[in-house]
Amino acid sequence: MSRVTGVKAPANDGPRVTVRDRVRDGLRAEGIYKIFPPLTRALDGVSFHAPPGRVVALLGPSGCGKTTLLRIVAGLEQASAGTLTMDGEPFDTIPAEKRDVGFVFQNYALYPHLTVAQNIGLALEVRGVKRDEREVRVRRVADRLGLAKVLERKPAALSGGEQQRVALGRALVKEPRLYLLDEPLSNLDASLRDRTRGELKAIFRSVEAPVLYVTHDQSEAMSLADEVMLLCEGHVEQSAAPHLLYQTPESLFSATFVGSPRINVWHALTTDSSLDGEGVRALAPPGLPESNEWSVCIRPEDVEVMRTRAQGAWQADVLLAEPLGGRELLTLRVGQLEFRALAAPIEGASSVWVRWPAGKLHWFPKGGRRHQPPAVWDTLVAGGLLLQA
Amino acid sequence: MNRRRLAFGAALVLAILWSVGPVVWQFLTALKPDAQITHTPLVYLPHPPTAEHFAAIWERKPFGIYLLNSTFIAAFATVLCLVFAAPAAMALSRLRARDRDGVLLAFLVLSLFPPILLLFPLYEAVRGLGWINQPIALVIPYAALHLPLAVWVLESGFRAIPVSIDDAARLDGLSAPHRLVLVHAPLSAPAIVTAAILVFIFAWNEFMLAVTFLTRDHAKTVTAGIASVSGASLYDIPWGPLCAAITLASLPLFFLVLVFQRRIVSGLTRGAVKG
Repeated sequence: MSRVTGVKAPANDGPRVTVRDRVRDGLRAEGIYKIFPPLTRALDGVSFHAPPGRVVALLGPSGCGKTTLLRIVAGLEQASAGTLTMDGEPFDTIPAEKRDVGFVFQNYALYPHLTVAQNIGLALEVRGVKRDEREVRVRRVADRLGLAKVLERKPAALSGGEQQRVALGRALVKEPRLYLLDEPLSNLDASLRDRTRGELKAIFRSVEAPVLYVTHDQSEAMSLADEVMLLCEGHVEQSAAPHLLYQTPESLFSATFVGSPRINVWHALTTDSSLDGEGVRALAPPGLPESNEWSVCIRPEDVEVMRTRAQGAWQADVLLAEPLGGRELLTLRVGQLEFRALAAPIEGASSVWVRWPAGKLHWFPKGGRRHQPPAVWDTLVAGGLLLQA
Repeated sequence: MNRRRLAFGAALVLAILWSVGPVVWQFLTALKPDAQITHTPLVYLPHPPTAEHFAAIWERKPFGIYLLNSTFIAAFATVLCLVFAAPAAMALSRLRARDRDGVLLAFLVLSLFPPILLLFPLYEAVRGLGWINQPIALVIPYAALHLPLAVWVLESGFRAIPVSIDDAARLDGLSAPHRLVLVHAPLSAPAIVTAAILVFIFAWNEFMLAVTFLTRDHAKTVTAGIASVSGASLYDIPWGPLCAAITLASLPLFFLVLVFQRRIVSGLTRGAVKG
């Protein structure tokens, strides 16, 4: 999905740029492998595309290879196999010093002996940007990030939030070809993290380069990214827009990793025309493909909770009710199946009636990809999985 | 508890006497008139103190030139040594622990060889190059001989710099020499000062090569110069002028260490306790 942008006007005083249409394709990775000796496969054939101006979040649990992937893109690690291209040109042959990426480190990695202004301006100084221009650019970035008052301070004299912004400023001031952020918010406290997340989103909207954003926090990925790439044990589990990743997870891993509170999973075996597991039995929808074991999932907010008996509903014991403002997070049990529901307050009731509406269910055969049920299931199993007498 | 402290204090006093005693004795001897130096019973304090030995050494020998030569040679050797040691230490500090320890051990083993093994080959080389009585004949060997020490000290300092700062500097476009000068050096100043002072002291104190390669009086360093202080006859040891010369030669080092004392301690203990 390449995109052709307009002709870039040559700068008046700069070197003459040949006027031509520049294909701005962004970053492409093809089949990236990384094997750490002796046999640890950190990355197992990762491919992706980060178009200009788009934010791609690399999401996954710790150890899934997301930081390794980011370091390979930056040139700080060598891939064992695979290629990287930037705007159609080879990227992996360029040494890290010349890749022109803006990298924000998890621990910020500020230069402790330099002032904030020097920290931000060092990259420009190395590139030979003239002092006057350097000062203008540093000040512009500092104003934007609210650092104007601390420009002459050393990093040790800054708060965590300020240090984080200096790290960001150091990346922004270069106006690089690519932004790489490695869990930039993970060292901030909760309220500061929320605020900075909003600021980041505004900044990302204004940049033209692709942004790769590594995080293990799914809410960060969902709120910041145009596309979320979910990594698991070195491979791409699923790559999709945040709402699609949430609505149509392609695997049990995607379903359980994304979403808070976690999705409910019922492990059931198919026997004849029913599903049976964890002390719960339900009618199997007609045409359910043969697979010994199914994981049937539903998000807590999709579980219907009723105070009175309803058709197709299970009676569930209330194990725990956690008030969350207007709603309650209920931990419920049917048979041996425990699951959670996000519902209107039940005012201390010890048992409720619940339905898992068929239209909200996600079906995963054991070890396989999502099974997209035919639309007809919604009507056939209207009101939810039917409990067999 | 109290007795332990007392014992510790006593041990400390003994250690100080042991190391400072000879220096003080030498200084006192330098201030004594000739008759009191070899007098029995011992004369502890000079009465009255005299500066005649200092004056004598300054008159009889070009002592100022010795000091200048020593300063020049030790300073250049130190700079040369650090110029080579710093990049090596930088590279070593980023190696995997297993590989790094092998190399460091090799450096240590190298530095265990007695320098006298090198004396004759070096002499041949120096003579062949026509460097007898030239400062360079000492500058290069001094720098080379103390390279392992400097690498060890610098490496422990550089290793304490987080790798991510190094990475950040690379991505800011800094080449390896740039990083060494702009990031590593300022961040491990104590290690650099320590290495510099240690190399300087060793170069300043070196005697064997100096006395072999420098024969002309005006080319001599202070150690070689002191050795050439002679008495009235072959059997006369000029204790007074010798002690005065040694005292004068020690003063620059004394002040150097005094000024940088704090940095040396933090440089030597760096990396000893890693958080």
